[in-house]
Amino acid sequence: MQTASFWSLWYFHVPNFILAVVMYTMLGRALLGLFVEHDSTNYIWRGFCAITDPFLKVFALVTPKATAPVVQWLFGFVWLFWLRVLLLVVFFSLGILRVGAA
Amino acid sequence: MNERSFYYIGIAFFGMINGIFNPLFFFVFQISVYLMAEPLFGSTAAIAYFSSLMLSTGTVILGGIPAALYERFIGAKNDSTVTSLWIWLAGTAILTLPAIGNFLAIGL
Repeated sequence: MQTASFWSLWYFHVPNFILAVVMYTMLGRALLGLFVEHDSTNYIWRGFCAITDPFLKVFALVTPKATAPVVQWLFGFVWLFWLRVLLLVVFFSLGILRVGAA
Repeated sequence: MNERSFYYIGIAFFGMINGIFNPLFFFVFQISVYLMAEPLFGSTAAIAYFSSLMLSTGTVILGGIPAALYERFIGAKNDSTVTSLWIWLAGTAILTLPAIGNFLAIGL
């Protein structure tokens, strides 16, 4: 077992942190979408949209059109979770991360 | 009930079976402990439910990729077609095959 600081593994932590931010913002957008109109000018809603829209455009390419917007946002959350899992697995398989080091 | 609802129910059913009985569950659980322990307050039960949910939703998402590509291929505009829903259902069912053994052995 080994512990490491944030900066000694920044090349893992920074992308993981960015994916986590987008993931939780996606969840926030799904929850806020229950109360706010989709074309609302509320600054929090616009902020959530600005952060998540680039990812949603990519995910929309591989999502059937029957999917409702709120389901797309939740699918986006799951996509980002699996991307974080992929990142973790890649770093583990390359031997860059060790158990306890992350 | 709308005819399309049966497709959605079927897709959700296969997703649910794969989320509960998939052999990869323990792998996903271990990864979830690392990624989600803090947001889920370290609760083993919550992490287990979350892992199951991620597996089932991941199944539905992956099963939908061929359907989405088909829709792009035929140039579907605003909504899925019956064929693409069939592809989605079949894709989800195929992804559920590894879990079928456990499902039949344990049952709901």
